[in-house]
Amino acid sequence: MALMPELPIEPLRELSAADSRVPILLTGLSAAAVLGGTGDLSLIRETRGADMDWGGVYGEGVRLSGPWWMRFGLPQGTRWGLPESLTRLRSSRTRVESHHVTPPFRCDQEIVALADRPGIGRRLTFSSSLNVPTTLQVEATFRPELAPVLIEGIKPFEYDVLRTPNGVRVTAFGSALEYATASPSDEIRLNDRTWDGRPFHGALDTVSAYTTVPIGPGQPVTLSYLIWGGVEAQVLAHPERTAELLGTAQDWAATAEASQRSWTARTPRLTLPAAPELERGYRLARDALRSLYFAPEPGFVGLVAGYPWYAALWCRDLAWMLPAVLWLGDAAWVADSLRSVFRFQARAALPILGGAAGELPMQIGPGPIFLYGTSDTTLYYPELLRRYVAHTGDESLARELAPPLGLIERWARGKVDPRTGLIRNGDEAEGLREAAEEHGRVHYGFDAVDTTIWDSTDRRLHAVDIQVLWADALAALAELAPVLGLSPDGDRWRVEGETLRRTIADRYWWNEEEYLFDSIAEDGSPVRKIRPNALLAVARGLLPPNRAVAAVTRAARTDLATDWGYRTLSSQDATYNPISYHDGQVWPIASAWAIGAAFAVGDATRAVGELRRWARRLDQEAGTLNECYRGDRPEPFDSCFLLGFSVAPFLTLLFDGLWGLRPRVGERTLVIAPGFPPDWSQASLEGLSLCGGQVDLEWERPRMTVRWHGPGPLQVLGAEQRLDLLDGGTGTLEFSPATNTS
Amino acid sequence: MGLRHLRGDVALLREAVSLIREFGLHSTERLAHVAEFLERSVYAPRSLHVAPGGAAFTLLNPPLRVGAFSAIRVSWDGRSVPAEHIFVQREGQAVERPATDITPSRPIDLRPGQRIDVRLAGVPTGSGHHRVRLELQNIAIPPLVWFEFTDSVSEPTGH
Repeated sequence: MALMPELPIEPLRELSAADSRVPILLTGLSAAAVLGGTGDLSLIRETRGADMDWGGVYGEGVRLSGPWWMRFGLPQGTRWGLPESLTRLRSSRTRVESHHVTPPFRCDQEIVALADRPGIGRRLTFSSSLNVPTTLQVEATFRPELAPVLIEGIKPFEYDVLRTPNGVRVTAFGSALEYATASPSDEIRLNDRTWDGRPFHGALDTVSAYTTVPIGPGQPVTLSYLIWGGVEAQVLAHPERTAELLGTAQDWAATAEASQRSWTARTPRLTLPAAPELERGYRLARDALRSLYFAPEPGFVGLVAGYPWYAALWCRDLAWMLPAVLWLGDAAWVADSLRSVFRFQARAALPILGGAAGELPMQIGPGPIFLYGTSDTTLYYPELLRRYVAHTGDESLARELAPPLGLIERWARGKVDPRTGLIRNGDEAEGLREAAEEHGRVHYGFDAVDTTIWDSTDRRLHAVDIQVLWADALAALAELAPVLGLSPDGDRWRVEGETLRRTIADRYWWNEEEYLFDSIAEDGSPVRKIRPNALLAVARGLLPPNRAVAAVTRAARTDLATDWGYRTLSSQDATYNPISYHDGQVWPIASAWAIGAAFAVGDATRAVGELRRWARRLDQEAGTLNECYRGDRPEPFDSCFLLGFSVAPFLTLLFDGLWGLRPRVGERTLVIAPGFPPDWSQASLEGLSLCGGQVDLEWERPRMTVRWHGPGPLQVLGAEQRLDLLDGGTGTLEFSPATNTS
Repeated sequence: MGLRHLRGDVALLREAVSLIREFGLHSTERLAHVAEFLERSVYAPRSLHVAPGGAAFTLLNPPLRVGAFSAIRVSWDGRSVPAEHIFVQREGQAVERPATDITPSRPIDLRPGQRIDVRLAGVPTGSGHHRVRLELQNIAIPPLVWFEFTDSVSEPTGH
């Protein structure tokens, strides 16, 4: 029997045999299911060098359960599970359908991440080919976890368990889950021992519920199961929720699907006849990004960094995702995300959390819980706000965030070396270490000395990408100054930013390598390491053209570039290790810097070639993309199977680089400087949200037709032409065959 | 209680007040839950006990980092314990592994919720509190993970 025939699945994965290592992710706005290709919520994945099971239910930033298995038995004792009876499994972003046959029984399962509740539902429909009534015993067993996802590798040792009308409630250290089924259980066992239902406190490995299902000839029976939860206070505040959710079990999949489709329908439509793999990559990356959306409680909105082990808001990662969300037309989500991050800006020093006044948090989890201590996170946000204002024309958010922006500037100035104008990195977590030494009888931590995006290696004291981010922040503040009512400061910020850009171009240039030093040490000596981070400076146009081209060429050499992306460190470096997280592994985000640099020097062929490779990998990985790969072969190692900043920059580059789109603050102006390869002749982009309206672009070499629908005028600037469009207006720009963004 | 500890408590109180003012009581409660979770979920309380030739204790979870570890070092009251005197036994494994046997090519895998018994031979188990520090080296992420606790040594408890 097919499940929900009125709602056809659009599968990302299809399997005909169980595979416990194929990662599958289902997400709602505050829940996720992580599973492999077996039908159970179990996923074996190498993590930091060892295999672990990451399967289970995640809600409100808490890993609620570990693996969750279903097993079946006959009265005479024969038992079997879902993996060994699997005949077909298909997964989409919102649900998994799996089909299992053990004659004479058939089980059709549907697993759904609830659209807007922190839970996962499973519906199993049983049928029998026998001509007589029969019974089947169904066992549902899960491992409680109840560990905030922000904390790696630690699960509670002891739990409290209470019987509820439909199942059990499990709590530990302020987190809670409810397990429930619509059909009454014959027996519930804790740690595989009979439980009398009285409140339990103690070590807990498994919870099992047994249900006897009578099945008549031609009369399928459906059982619905649910695990939901998160922060204990929120669970206790909703005693009605379990019954409500079980009462709507037949609608779980349709509701999740409708939510996904409604969002997708509002995103731009991209057509690239010369590169169908980029079109598909666009759709896959877009939907992957949407699967990271996270809104667990009022005032807490954003996108989680990735799955399975970075399923919280990491504000650096969020900063790499929000530009793509903006291009996809969800400005409201961007605004709410920015508000969420700024809500946790440290107003004063918070050493116990590693925070300094003005700093934005590194991580935020529901509750909320949060932690500071990075050198780069805070620096991204002025530019993000600039993008938001330019894109939407909405200046109110910038005015609302003007005081926090002032705090950011003060925080950054406190880190600038007055002798050089360079900003420091690496001392942000010292307060946290000292504070941790002072409190409690148990202490722990890492001897990590640095705080950049590659935070497991030492790049002190003036990493090149941190300087670029500070220059970006100054430029963004300068552009926002009139909106903030700080026009006189704008000139100062602009001059300071330009001075810093020249300083970076001069002081970091490495003649022998025709590249940029990775950092400058405390004594002023250059750190002679080849890393892809330097390409950010090229992408931002900081170098003279000849040096910029030389740097892009240098980065393409095989010690840094591989067929599967860019290493975090040259393989010729003495400290290179192909399995070292930040000293040798290949990270997709580094490709973003290389592609941005290639577009910046006008090398569209190289840039688009890299984008094609990125898109193919998105396809190979069935719409997810790994965090990182080994440096010596294209094999994920110590890698989340989906990371937001492995997919979002791909999207951003399609708009920023390939189409060369840049809206300007306060001018209702869109600048277009496309980076199409010389052998392309057509492309179109429809439904691009901008300034409260929509833009359609249709390019047929050499002409680009621009259509505008929206309130007020829109000015469009091409290479040498300008269009002034009113609502419903159309105009044409011309781009020469050698079009590029340099 | 030393003055340094008192200073710490005052500073903590000041920060807690600041947190409540800036981010609300809910947040402070949740952070307190996390702190309690961290404090109680790694070192098994009162598990430090006399063991043949020295002392032993139990971890309920790996400290803040999971995965494969290529080295484990321990210090006892600030003195490094020789690797040949350190023995580790994971839950579900029949025999102890000496720390000398743990190398990059033969790492030890540590998983969430997995108990780890650590035995230290030759350490002085006299009365009073002892400070124990573990350092673990993961094969994928270089920064050392460290964990410290202070406890007194009890007689054998069957751990």
